[in-house]
Amino acid sequence: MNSPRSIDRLPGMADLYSAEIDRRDKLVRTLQESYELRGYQRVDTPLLEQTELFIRKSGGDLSSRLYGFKEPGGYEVSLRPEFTAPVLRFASKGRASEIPARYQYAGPVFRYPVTEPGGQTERGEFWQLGAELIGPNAPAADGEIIAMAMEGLALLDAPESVVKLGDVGMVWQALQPFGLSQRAILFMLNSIGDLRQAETEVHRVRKKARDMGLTGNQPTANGPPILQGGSDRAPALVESVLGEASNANSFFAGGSRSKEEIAERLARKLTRAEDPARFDAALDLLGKLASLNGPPAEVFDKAEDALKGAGQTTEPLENLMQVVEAAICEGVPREAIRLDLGLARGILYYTGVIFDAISAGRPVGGGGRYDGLTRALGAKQDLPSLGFAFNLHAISEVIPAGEIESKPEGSLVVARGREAAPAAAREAARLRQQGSRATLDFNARSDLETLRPTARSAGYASIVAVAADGAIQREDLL
Amino acid sequence: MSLRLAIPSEGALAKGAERFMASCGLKVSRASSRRYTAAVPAMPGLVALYQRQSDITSEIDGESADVGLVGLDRFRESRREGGDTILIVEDLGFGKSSLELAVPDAWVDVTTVYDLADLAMEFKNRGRELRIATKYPRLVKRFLNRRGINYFSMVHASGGLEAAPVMGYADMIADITATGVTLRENRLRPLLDGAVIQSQAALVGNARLLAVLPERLSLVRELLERVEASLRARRFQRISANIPGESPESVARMVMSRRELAGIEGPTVANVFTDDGLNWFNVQVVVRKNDLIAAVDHFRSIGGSGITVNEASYAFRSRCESFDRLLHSLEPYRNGQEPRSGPQ
Repeated sequence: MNSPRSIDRLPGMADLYSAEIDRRDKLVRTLQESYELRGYQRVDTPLLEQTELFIRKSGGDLSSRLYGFKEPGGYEVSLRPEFTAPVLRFASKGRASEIPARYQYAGPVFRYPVTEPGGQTERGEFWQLGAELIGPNAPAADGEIIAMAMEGLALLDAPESVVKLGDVGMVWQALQPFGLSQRAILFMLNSIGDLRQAETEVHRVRKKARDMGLTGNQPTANGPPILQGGSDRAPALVESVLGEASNANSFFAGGSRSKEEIAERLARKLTRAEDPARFDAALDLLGKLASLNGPPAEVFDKAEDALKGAGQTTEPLENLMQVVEAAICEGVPREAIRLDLGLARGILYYTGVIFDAISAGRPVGGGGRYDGLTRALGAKQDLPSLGFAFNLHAISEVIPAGEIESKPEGSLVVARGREAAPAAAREAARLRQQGSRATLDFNARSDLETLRPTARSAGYASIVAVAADGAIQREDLL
Repeated sequence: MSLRLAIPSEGALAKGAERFMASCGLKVSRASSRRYTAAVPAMPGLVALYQRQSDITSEIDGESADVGLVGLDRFRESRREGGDTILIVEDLGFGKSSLELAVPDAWVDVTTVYDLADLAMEFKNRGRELRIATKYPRLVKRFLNRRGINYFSMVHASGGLEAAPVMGYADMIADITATGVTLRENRLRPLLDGAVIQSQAALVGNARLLAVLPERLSLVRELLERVEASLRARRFQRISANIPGESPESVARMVMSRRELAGIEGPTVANVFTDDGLNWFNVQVVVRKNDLIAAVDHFRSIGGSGITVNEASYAFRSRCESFDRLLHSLEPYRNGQEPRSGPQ
């Protein structure tokens, strides 16, 4: 074997150079100072948390992208993929107060990058900066959070900033009159992403619901024939099938589950199938709502039509209307607000208005209301909470790079001959005490001629040559 | 310098790999089953290394083999994402199997992955965790996570997975099955939508090595030429028939009245010299195997007789397409610039 091969960076990771660090620090400072004026206190949470904290919040897609492992003490842990769950955990430990708690955070998060076939790997580590507002129920609080996101983009000179608003609570409310189970409504909310794609998707979603046994007919291809029966026959059928299953062999082949346990769940499954007609009517309304997007006035008009067409009041739209007005009161330009009623991100825990912040056509951040999250994380009760986060990597790709300052600065201190080294070190220390940058060159040099171009391109303003007797010769490179 | 080809030494793929190599005209000559290297007389530059299938991907990643035959499922389970090992041919046509989620037969309430999601929550609420025994934890975890199932644990196991639910060290399994017989005999039932991955044997290789070692790359070309042409030849047969007619042109016209049965470019027509002075012509076409009887009927209907059919060993095109694709994939690995995302 020849020399060992070099070890590369992991996919999706980056090394940063000083100018890039400066740029990021500047973004962070600008936003933090602005949010401090609104009373948002800075918090930081551990980079490493128990995996469960993130799974409870996000589930699904994000949990397949966790950098997770078992730590030496036996805990399943993950690098944080976002801040909301840790910050809410931190906040729910605090004392309850009449005044809402306001927190902001900034730091790296980790999400295992998805590589498209033949495409580029996205970033697996990037910085998030965001805020959480805990306590208030009012639409004005949603307005504050949306305004903060848009203010931030304005402060950073982000081009063509737009906020897209949706409202999970509205959709939830609009589906209530159909009398479906929570399970069926959850299924529909999870299908919004498909529904907004095209009208024809309604059929696919309907078929999926049927395949899952949500609307009656069970799949029969090679499933147990018992599932074709009506719900009232469930208990008897369970007994007959399970009886058969256990008699066919000397022991009952249910593994870790008892016969009763299986029967109980099967009965529950058979009795909770939805009425297909009501399910379809709800799905039609959802399909119409999910495809609406554009300027608020226009979308509200069409949404009202859709609701009335389904024989409902327009009450579900009121919260979103109030939030739009609140955001405008907070200074968000009316023309920068778009509605997108099919916005479906992270539907599992959002309970109200959700939004994407967009600059130059690219999503750079987002947020919303998640009143149920604190309880999902183990708090005794739901705590109204909402927040947003920017992806600083995405932002830095849309805002102008600005001037990268590279003014020559400081001196390169050179010893003239080996015996001059102590004098050179003393001179460098003296310069630093005066507050100027001074760097030692460890090579003893008699000839400065060749050093000049190197020092200039390395960004020094001068060369200071020190002789053994302490004589100093200073040469400007500018 | 020789090309090191890793071949599975045991398991379901071993027999198939041996037959596959032979069918490509590359019979491996292994002195004894205890020898872990073997020569391929038809390709003197090729050395076969017998390895456990589960090790082949990492052997190639670690540069102790250049290319290998491995199941697509094994490859996806053990490859390093963004690493040097890439897929070269992903459908070698043998070792077909499916990685299936399967539950005890008596779980009549569980037929789909959606039921499983529900059940996992139910387990969780009772302070239990759904335990899945598998040799493919990475693929199974990703499959379940993407379907919103997060509360489960993996029981790593090798061999005899089917007994896990009865023995009690797991609640259900995810295992490779070709026919489903082993599952049924162990009173397990696959979920209707629980196929984690459909797999077959694939040829994989270390792109970084092949990009910088031209001798090995040219051996890979030779290997791919044979593999590709042999796979293609299996789909076709050569038919020869004698047909009476006025002239070669008129016979060709009759044959081409059914264009789809008259060969890819068209028929070859040659004179047959007969005793009785009649005009007979010999017609040769290459047709898809599916079309064999239709082509024979067609020849009969225009007076054909003496119809013979031959297998082709190889069917070459003007270029070796899989090698062209490989060259394209190697592009980013040249000039020492290593990509972080391999083509998948």
